[in-house]
Amino acid sequence: MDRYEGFREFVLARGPALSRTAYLLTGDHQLAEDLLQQALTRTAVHWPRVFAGGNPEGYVRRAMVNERTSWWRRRRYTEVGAGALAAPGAAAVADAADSVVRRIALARALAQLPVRQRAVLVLRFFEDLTEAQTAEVLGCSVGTVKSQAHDALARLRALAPDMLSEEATA
Amino acid sequence: MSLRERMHELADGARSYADPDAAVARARRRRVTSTAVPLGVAGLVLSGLVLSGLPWLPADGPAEVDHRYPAAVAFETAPPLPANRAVGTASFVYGRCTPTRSACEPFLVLPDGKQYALPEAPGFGTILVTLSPNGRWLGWSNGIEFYLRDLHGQRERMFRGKSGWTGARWSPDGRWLVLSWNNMGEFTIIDMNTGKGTFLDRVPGWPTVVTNEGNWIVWDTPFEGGYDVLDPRTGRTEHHRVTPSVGRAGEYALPPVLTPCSCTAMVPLFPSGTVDPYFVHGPVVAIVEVDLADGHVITRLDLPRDDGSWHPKVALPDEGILLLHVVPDATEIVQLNTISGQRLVVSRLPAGVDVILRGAGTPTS
Repeated sequence: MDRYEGFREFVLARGPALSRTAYLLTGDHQLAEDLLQQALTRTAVHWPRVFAGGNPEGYVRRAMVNERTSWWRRRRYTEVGAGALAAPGAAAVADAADSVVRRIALARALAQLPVRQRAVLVLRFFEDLTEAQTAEVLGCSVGTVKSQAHDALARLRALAPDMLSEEATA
Repeated sequence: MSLRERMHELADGARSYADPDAAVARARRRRVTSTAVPLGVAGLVLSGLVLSGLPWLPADGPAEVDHRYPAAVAFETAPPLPANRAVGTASFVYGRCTPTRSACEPFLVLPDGKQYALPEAPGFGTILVTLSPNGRWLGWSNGIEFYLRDLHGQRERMFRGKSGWTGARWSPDGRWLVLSWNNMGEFTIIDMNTGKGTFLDRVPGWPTVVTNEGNWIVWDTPFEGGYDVLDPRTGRTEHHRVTPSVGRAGEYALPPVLTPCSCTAMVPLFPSGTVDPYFVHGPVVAIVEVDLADGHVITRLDLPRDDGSWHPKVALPDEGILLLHVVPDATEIVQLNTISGQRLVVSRLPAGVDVILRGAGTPTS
């Protein structure tokens, strides 16, 4: 039996969603590709065990978060802000300008956050993970998730008061 | 609009970054190099699957003749390289050196063993001649201009800087040839696909090796655990760390050679304290392969201790690492498969010669 059996199907099915997470974690297409491919490589190396664990997507997500933190520690990559954002797609129509402004504002604000705080926001407000699930992915306590999320939101509000009202985090 | 909605709006700008085939190929390679080699289980890594993922390595099997090389080379009278006709792909260049190595006469060698005398190439104890990785292009200099000759035809190009020529570096795929000139920071970058040469000055670095993308890897000298990747066209530099340390305690890392993908580097190691790292390269006791994407050490291969010395020179497609093995009575060209550890002597030359292999830069630049 091929030890990678099922891996390709998994990536084809979940690749788009994982790509979106990678993009939010990095804010840059090239870094997102590097991040996701490194995480997928790690996953492939341990595929039989990961597959048997029953949650390969969670494994990849955790690998991405850990790898992103590792990059930050090594300071290998230049942090990229809104300048690296893609132009709006062809579907952008009348409200395209507003959408672009919002995306740039959020990207710039996220780029100002420490890596762990950014990861907490992505996992909590994009992946819709619970605090306990987020803690598991990050390898920390629920209390740490709470404090990191609190600090991240406070910083976002300070960076972009117009963008993030109290209700906007709902 | 909530933060959740804003996040999804931002994520709509993502592309598809997932490539399962690339991930599996890389995983296969990591599994092989991180498990099979340290255990010495060479048999496990000889499957066609592994070899198909590492096309730059020579296939294993019974020792065979490699028809890209003459099995043996002897000193013989050789005609000068003809200027008006093609001679075909070269195998390598060697220099017949005086006993004190104060001068070496260069000779071009073809796969069938035929030799041609080359124009004099001034150097101190070596020959400043270079061959492209595919053996088609021969480069040499009179100390001022640099000449590039197409061995498949008669074409010859001349390049000149603002000062004397000092050396050359090829990218593993042969697309880029970087010439260095005597003045600090002056280089000519030749795109072999177009033949266009671009002169640059004030480049803030010197290429230890040149990648297939045209970037330069500037190795720490003395090695302190890192290297810079420099884009010579913009001057932009990124520093990378190699983790964990490439060598063991007491070992010193020499500048590396790039593998054909230019995604990994082969770093020779020798015991520190035995030689001056700035001037003497050897004796090399091991080679480690480093992933240039993340500085990860993939594998280590210890070289056998014998009465000779090992000199890693270049890595070529389908050939693995090419080393010179200098023994008391001969100089051998050896192909090394870093996965299986198998070595194949592909050519044997008289003792005391200097050998320039395809794709290897000049020894001094």
